[in-house]
Amino acid sequence: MLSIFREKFIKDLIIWVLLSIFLSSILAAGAGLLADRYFTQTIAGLMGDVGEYDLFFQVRNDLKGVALSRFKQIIQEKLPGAVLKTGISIAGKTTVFIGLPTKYRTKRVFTNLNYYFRDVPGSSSFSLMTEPRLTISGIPRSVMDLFIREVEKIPDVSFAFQDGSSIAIILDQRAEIKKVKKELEGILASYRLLEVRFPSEYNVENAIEAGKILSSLLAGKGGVTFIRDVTSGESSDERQALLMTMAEMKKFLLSYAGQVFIIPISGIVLNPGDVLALGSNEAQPLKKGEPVKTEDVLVKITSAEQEGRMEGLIVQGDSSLISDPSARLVVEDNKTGDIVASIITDSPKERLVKVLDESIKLLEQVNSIQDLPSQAGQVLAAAETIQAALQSINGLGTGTPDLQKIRRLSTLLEGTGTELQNMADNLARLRWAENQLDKAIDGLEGVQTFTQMGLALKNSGYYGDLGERITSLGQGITGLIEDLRSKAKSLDDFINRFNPLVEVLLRWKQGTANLAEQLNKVYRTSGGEDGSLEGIAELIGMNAESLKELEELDLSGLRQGLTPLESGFGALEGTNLTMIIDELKVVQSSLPKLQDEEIGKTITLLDNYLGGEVASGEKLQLFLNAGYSKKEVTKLIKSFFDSDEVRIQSLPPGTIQTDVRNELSRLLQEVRGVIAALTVIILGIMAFLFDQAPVLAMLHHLDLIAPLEDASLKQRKGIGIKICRKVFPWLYSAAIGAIWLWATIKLSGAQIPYLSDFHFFLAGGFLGIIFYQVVEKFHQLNMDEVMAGYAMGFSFTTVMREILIPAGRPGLMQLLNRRKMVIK
Amino acid sequence: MNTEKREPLLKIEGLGKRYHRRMVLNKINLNLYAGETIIIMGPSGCGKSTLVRCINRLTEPDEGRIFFDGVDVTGISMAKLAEMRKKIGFVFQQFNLIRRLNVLENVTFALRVYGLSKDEAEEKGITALSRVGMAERVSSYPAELSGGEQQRVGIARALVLKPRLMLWDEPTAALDPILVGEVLDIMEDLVREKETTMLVVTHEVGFARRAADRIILLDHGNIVEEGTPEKIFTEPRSEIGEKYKKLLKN
Repeated sequence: MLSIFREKFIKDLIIWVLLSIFLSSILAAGAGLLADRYFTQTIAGLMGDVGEYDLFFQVRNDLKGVALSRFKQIIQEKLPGAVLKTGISIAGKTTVFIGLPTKYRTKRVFTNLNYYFRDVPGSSSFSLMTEPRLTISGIPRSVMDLFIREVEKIPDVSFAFQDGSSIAIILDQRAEIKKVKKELEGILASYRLLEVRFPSEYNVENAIEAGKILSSLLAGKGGVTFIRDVTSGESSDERQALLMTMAEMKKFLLSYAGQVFIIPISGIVLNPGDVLALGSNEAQPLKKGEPVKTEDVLVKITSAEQEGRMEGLIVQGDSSLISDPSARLVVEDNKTGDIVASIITDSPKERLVKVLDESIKLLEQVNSIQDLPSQAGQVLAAAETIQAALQSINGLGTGTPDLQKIRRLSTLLEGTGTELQNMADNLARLRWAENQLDKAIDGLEGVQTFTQMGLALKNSGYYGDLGERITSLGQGITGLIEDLRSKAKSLDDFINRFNPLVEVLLRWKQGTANLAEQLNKVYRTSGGEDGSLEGIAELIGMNAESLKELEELDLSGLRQGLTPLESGFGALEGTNLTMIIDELKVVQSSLPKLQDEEIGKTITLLDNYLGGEVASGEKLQLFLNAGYSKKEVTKLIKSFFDSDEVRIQSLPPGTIQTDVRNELSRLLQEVRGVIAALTVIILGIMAFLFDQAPVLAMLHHLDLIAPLEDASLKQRKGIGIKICRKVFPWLYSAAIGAIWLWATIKLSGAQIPYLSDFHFFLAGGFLGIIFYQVVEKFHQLNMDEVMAGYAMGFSFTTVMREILIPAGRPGLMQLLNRRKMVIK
Repeated sequence: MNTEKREPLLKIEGLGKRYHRRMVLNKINLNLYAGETIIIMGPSGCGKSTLVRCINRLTEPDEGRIFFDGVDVTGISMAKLAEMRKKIGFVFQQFNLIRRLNVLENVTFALRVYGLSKDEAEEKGITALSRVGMAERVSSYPAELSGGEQQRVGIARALVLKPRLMLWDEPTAALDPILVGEVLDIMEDLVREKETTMLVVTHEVGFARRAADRIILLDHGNIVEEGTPEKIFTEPRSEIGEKYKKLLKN
């Protein structure tokens, strides 16, 4: 059998294999190139030449004219020199291309493009076409800046900027895209996106907050050198802000809503989710088995029992409406059941409203008593008048009171009665004012308590600027309270100093008013003895000590004491008291007019949204450096959530995409490869049908073309030789098929997605075997001619060259064979 | 013809051939001497064609040895086999002409392949064709010839190489009875002229009686009788011989 390899026809075969592979490769590559060229021209027709345009718009056909005018106007104003081109119209929209001069290909311009083209009629947005360009998508927004900074460090990167939810990377004109792409892959590979999914039953109150806490916890541990919480980072900043606001709003509402504490009756087991009914009409208490009415107050239990009590939320009615703290369980058919608990309510909302009302009222009164210094002055003036009158009584302060003194004092007191009364009245007013100040201080302290308890919304913008107002109000109130306290003290001092004098004088006045007459009568009756008068003077509280005290009264010192009071109230007038009253009124009017029911329902709704949105699928997303210790981080996370059910998945942080043209080119290259591969396969089939068929068919007659050199060997070596002769044709067919297809595919640059060279090698071998198996069905050899040839002593080569190949189908083999034929 | 003292041109020893499990030739022994004409006869399927094809190894024998001119045909290389085949002319039952070649090309084909110039080859070709009466049809293609004519071209093709041995595999079996005669006439001429040694497989009893030096009767792969035509057709010893005797009488 080996003799066949000595045949010259083997050389013919080798030449054919090489030449057919070469020609087929050229043909296949040519077909691919033709397709490539066609597609490239088509793309160029659609998109312009490489780098020609930067922006691609789709404009509604009906607004095309207006839009084009606007485009021209924008170009003239912002981008003079830019090129505008109108493309084809498809499905009611016209494509518009804008090419920017090189000087505008800057980060500043590209960042502002959205602003420039924000109001083009009939066009919502544009697509970036600048080339060469790469895009990284899927990067969480909160770390985009970080990526942009890193990307811009890569050589050949002109600049990078945020383009919607992606990062657009504009490359230098001569940039090697593959090289830049590789660098970008390196950057992406240095980070990971860690997705932490909770078990379905796991409840995370605020996923954003949990993410922040968790990222703080992981920072610096387990090889984590960089970490950012990007939970819901897939969404926009606005969306995240909304979620944050909603979480804060929930916090505010929870602190604002009526707090309900449920004390279950001993032996009764209540669960979160149970609803309790409470009566709102004292005259008609709830009864067992009655349907729940709209006026009843319903409380939903929100927490498990802890230390004998549970927390709840009012889902119908308001805490102020509760008339009876006995709560009945709402059972089937929405009816009231047994009394199962008692309710304690505390409504910060009610308390806040009340304290605001009172504070405003009191402060207005404080504001109205700004004439306190003049009242105090009047007191002082009256005291001076009285003192001057007293000093006119000679020897008032010396010796014991005698009748003359008493008479004169009585007359004097009667004469200064008006001043004395004014003085008393003014002191009474001052005392009232002092009381009001004390009450105002109490009220302000109440308001201050609310401003300090975090009731105010931190996020301004919600409920107008209520949050900010309350915060600044709190600061104002603190100052005011201190101010009022010092004023109240001054007032108190003043009152305390005048009060004893006024009390003495009034007592005297009362005693002397009509007593003078009576004393005369007594004097006449007793014979005018002074001892009796002493007794009377003692009786009305007038003694030598008090007379001396009166004479020596330090009115100038009192007047000095009045100065700080006067100036103090003057300063009070200059404070922000009026402003604070106004602010309190604004806060009062701005407070949400919400019932507990509305708050409860809103909280439920917020919970639903936050539950679904923040942790869609109950997950957190953390952005961190690659190369962290997976084991340690997993352990920390599981420990944080105190659950082994938490699933942690490490994902690549983003994906790199080439620009549209590159993407299309890549796709078209694949198409070109597939077209080339299909051409190769077709040519391969043709090569087998036309050229290899006679050879393969002849292999079915191996006895004839390669008889055993020693027929007797067959008897001696039997099975081995038989197997060899049986296998040889299959081997040849498989080898020729495998080599041919593999080499042609390789040389032509053909490719089929997901198929490697080895796959083609195998496919070629398989095809060869199939061909060998069926060759005689489509290529009948004329064995008579073959026999004749052999009978004439022809070799295998001669038979092939002179008989079989010429008799076969026209092809490369026949073409090559022709020059070797004796009789052409 | 005295064959006892000479070396046979063709010597077959214990030739055996099986097709699958069926024994087609069973240890055939045969000697053929130069100038001798042996006619092999027997019923269809008895192994006659296989025997002649085994001689030039168009069919591979399973056992036994074949000596041609003293050389063991079963133990030679492909090249030597090809050389040997040049010395053995073969006339096929189905003529086996090359369809793409005309009459002259068919006849000169081997000469040309073996290096003769076109002119020389054609000269010899025309001589061979003249001998079989086909010189007028040199330009015709096989498809344009009758069966008899094709066979005569086939004979010319074999003769042109001047073979030492000519093997005839039922040369008239595919011919219309009317055309058989023209082929048999040529064959008888060749026998008469003793130009070559011939081993003929045929059913033509008359031709066998007239032309054969010896007749070998084959049945089921075995030689059942061998002898001169007179002996076979007058005193047959085998059943087959009896049948041929009766056939000849009729």
